[in-house]
Amino acid sequence: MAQNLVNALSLGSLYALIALGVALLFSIMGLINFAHGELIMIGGYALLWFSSLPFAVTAVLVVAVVIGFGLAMERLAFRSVRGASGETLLMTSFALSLFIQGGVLLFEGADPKSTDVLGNLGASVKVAGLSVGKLDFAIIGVTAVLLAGLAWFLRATSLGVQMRAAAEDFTMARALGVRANLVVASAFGVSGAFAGIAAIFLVASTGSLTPSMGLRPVLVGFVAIVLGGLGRLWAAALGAYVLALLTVMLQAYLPGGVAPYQDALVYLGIVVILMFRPHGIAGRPGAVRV
Amino acid sequence: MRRTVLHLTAGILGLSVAAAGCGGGADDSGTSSAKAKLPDGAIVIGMAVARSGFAAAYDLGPARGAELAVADINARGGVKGHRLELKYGDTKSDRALGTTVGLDLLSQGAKVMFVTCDFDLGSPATIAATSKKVVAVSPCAGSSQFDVPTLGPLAYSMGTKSAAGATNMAQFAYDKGYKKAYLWRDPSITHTKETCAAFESTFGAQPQAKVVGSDTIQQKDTSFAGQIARLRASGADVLELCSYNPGAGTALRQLRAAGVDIPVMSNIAMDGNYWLKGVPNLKNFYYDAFGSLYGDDPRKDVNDFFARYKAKFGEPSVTSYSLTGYATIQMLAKAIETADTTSGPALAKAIDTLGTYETIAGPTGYKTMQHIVTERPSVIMSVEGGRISPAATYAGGRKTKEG
Repeated sequence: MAQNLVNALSLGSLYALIALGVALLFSIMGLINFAHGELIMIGGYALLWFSSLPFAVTAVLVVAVVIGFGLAMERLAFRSVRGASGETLLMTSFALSLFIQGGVLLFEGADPKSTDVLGNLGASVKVAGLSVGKLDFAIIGVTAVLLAGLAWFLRATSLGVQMRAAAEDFTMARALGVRANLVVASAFGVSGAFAGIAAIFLVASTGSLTPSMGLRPVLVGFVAIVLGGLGRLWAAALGAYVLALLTVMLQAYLPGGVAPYQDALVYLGIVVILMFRPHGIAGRPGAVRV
Repeated sequence: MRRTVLHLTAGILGLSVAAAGCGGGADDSGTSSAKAKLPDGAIVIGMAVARSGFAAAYDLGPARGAELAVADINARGGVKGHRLELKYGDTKSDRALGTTVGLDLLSQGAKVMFVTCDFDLGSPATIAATSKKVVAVSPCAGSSQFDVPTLGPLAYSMGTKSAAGATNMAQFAYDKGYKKAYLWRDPSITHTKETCAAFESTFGAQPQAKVVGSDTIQQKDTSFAGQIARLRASGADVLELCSYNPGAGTALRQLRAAGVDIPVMSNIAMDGNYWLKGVPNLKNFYYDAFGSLYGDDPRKDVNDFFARYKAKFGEPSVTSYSLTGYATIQMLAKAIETADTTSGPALAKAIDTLGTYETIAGPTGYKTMQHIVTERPSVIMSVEGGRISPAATYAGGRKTKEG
């Protein structure tokens, strides 16, 4: 049981990195950004492009590339539809997602690629009788630092406060002098940074890359923010950990014959939770209701 | 949240429409149900294969193998004076698109259909073709369902039944002295399910050998920590990995990283070295293949084939499936020559009565009620320190050649 909790903590940390990137943009501009998965995919391929460099340099370059893509995404695709209906934003994000996937397909081909990232963290260590991978330690630790850093950024910096104000009421915030372009571009930048770091850990776990590798993470991100509660960033992280816990526990305890239906049972569990907590586990009544 | 759900639903519908739109329209005009002799002009072979998505890695080799065979046959004057011509459609590794792409190729004049290398992904285009009385062949589908009872009398697979490869792998594992096997089952495609079932029955039937446990693994999983812990606790001395890439590579990466170095037996879906960077210095890993890509196959014509492949396409073949792509065209050319028509029923009759004949992929033959190759030697490949080489050749559950 304790081993499963450790596994869930590690998986939940990866999910939280993804969910926070999605939740940030949803909070500020109501955008459900399906192209967030493509940022993760770009990060994965960037790992391959820079794989000959020392890891620290590679990691910085990967995050920089993904932030760059995030900013370009905002400037070229989303700025012109800012304030448009949710449907328009959603379709824009779908179109962008397909466009980026197509571009990677064109330049990198459809073949799955493989790479060894953070291979030196592959081994496990024994902690209180539990086997914990060094990579799991890294994921849990880095996510904790990033969550704390994001909380500090949002509370203690001027830009962070402006972002929180925009998340509360974008129109009112603009009326009070918050610079919309700066706030939204910053949100895309932070979202990109989270996607870049998630890509590093995702590829370190799987060792493989495909142009469609972003689809699953982005779905996990959306489910996590709905489960945790729309409108609160920390709730998205909470949703990610609960989702990971459900996944790991079902993976561990489902009998063989039912195991293929693990996903269906995870989502059934989420439906049950939302029946009792229609705003999500930590969502605010009156914000967005399921 | 209702708005959010609406947005999501609208988006998913939008994606579906966009995906369907890429496949082109369906049209009956291309059907070749006519009983007439070969018409003038080239004989068009529709290539309803994945050129993008995860299955592209499995379809690229067979498609290029087919291109090589077409070039060879055309250089000899074609089939009864008719050039062979390949027309491509991209199924994008999406089952839903298989039908659309198949129908689109028929409308472009395809007289025979060459489909994706898997039952689940290849059957939609197969059904699209056979419903218009056009013969469809998968170069390497291994599922026993790619046969007459499921897909009808006009569908064929040049692949070897999944169970045949798994039987050879189980015997190989037993011959190496392993007695306690553990199974990792990937339920996402029929090939992997049948592979595990056949391995289990063959290995479990050996004296003093038993299957000590099994677990489910899924392509979408990013963590296999639970399965690894249960495998470790089972005391197994060999693991049968019934899965395919990229999920199987991820599972292996995490297995070896966790320090579990027991031998792993797998299947033909792991053929090729494109995934090995993700599992550095992999050793004690075995899978069955149609042949070795690395110039050390026991058969000279296979080594020559891969040398020609590299010369023509500027890169080595990714998997040995390219052999069955070549063999598919060899078989079709032979059958069209015999039948003197591409009309489905007549062509199928010709294929069924060709008997057993040699192809680049080994002996091949079909019967009226058996449209998948049931028996063909498996070259068992060994991965040691990232280097792949043939370990043995097995056929019918018996070793026929060392190395």
